[in-house]
Amino acid sequence: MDPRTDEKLVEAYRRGETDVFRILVERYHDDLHRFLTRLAGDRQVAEDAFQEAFLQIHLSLGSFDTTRRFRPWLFTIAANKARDLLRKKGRRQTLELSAPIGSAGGSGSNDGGSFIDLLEIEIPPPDAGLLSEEQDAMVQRALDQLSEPLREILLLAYFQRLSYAQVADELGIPLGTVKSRLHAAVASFAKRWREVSTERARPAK
Amino acid sequence: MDEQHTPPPTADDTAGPSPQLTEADARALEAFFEADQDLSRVPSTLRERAERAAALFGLLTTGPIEGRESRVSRVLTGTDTTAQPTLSRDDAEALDAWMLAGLDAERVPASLRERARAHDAIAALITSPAPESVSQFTRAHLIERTVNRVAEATDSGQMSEPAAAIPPRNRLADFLSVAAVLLIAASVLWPVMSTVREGSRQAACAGNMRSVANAMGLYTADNDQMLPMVTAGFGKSPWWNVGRDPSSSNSANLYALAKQPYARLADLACPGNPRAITVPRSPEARDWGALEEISYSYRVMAHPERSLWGQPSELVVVADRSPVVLRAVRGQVVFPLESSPNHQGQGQHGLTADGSAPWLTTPALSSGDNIWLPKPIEMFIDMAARRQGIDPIRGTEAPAGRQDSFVGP
Repeated sequence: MDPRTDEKLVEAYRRGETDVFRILVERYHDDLHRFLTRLAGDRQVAEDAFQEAFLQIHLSLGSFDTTRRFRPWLFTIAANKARDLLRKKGRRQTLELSAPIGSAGGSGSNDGGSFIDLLEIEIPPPDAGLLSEEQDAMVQRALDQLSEPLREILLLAYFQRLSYAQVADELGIPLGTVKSRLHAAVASFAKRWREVSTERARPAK
Repeated sequence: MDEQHTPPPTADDTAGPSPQLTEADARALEAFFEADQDLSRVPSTLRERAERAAALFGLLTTGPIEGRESRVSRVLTGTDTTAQPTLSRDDAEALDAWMLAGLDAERVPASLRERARAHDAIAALITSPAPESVSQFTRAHLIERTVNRVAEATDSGQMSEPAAAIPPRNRLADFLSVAAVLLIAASVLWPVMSTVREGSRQAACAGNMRSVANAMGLYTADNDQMLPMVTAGFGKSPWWNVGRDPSSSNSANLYALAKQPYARLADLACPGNPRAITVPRSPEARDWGALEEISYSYRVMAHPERSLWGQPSELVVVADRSPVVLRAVRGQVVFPLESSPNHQGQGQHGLTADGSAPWLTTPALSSGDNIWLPKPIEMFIDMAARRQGIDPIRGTEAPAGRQDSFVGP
């Protein structure tokens, strides 16, 4: 395990220590691959975006400001690559509206939308350990039903553990937009999660 | 009516391609519009679905037809704020506090902590690592492929952009001094870069070996423990007839792994082989097109062999391509102790029956067995035969037994 920070590794790579690139790829593999799989909902696109992102990092390292953090830069590039690849692939998200509306625990309605009370939704506690394959697929199904902007902001914020201001800075959008979009994203995800959980609990016909 | 339910282009540039309804939902929504948003007039088979869709888009409560398409579009692209679910006020406050606290519920004020823990749980749900069976499969390969791709970009001259634009230089003296520095740098760096590149090729090749080992395990499990074999033995015809007749080519047996597919053709392509192919020449291809395209030599399958894979044994089943075969096919004198051309003659990976793939600096195993040759030839080959230019191998030989490592194309 190389003790150097990402930014120090970038400096070393720029000085000609070519081996350190592998350290960066290995260091970020798990997180970035996971992030991209969640974002794209397609493992092949995620793998292609992963490679494209690191290739872009290699090509752009000369312009990287090492006083900034490497991680958000990498994730933002990777998200852009995934978006481009999905566009090229012509993927259009499909929404399935067949789940019941407003009948599974929402405490009211608001012009057709519904209030989400997170305490009423069953979510595995954070220390529940590794997801089962079924839960993993359920999370993906719930995320896939979010619109792209909502899914992207949710994943960028959670995987990078960034504040509102940092997300705004990285995405170049106003702070207020970040805030409202993240609120909408969390509510939408919670609602979809409740739906996929209910589907799972419902006995097969 | 068709265009009525088609969402117009979104004004939000960040939205990307606008999502679509499933066909059934779109049909139901269209019927709802056609019925002037009167659910009772929607055909009964579509009514339930139409009601759900209309409810989600807020079309039941807002009534007017005006703006309904843009409403649907806004919902689908996530830019609608009225029809989307909304966090309860307490949850929204907790989310803000949780974000402020660095996404850590324990640092959120006590009054909001319980709700902030729900945000901890959602974040953990979304970001938690993939189940083990998924992540192990992709990790090693993706890292190797990524590092390799960057190395290839470096090889082809795609380097990092400079930090700042270099001001134009006009004088010949400036040009010459820059050229001289570059030449010196190139002469110093070339051997270093060459070593780095070979290291990267070896790493990628080791990744391929892991894929092939995985594929072998799956293949033998699916095929009654038989090693891959699609040919029916070779008789007296050479098994190195690659590209002419898959039924008499040993490489067709290895190609079967990519054909099924248990592995991808790219997993059978060593970056040290410049002519390796990574995608099939055609969907019908059953073998490589030429000997030079093959990166790995496979145990010469003169007859079906069962229960060799998965045994604790140093028997080599697959190895970097054999230089002996390459020379013998061309009628050249062979050197039994020569290492594979895949890695500049420095050594080769040998995938053994126990699933490991050690790096072998010589083709002679610790037992004395030479992986490029069958036992009888190893025993009789001598300097005199080679001095007289006698081919020690004709492409018709077979392993002398279950313990004889002998690989060919």
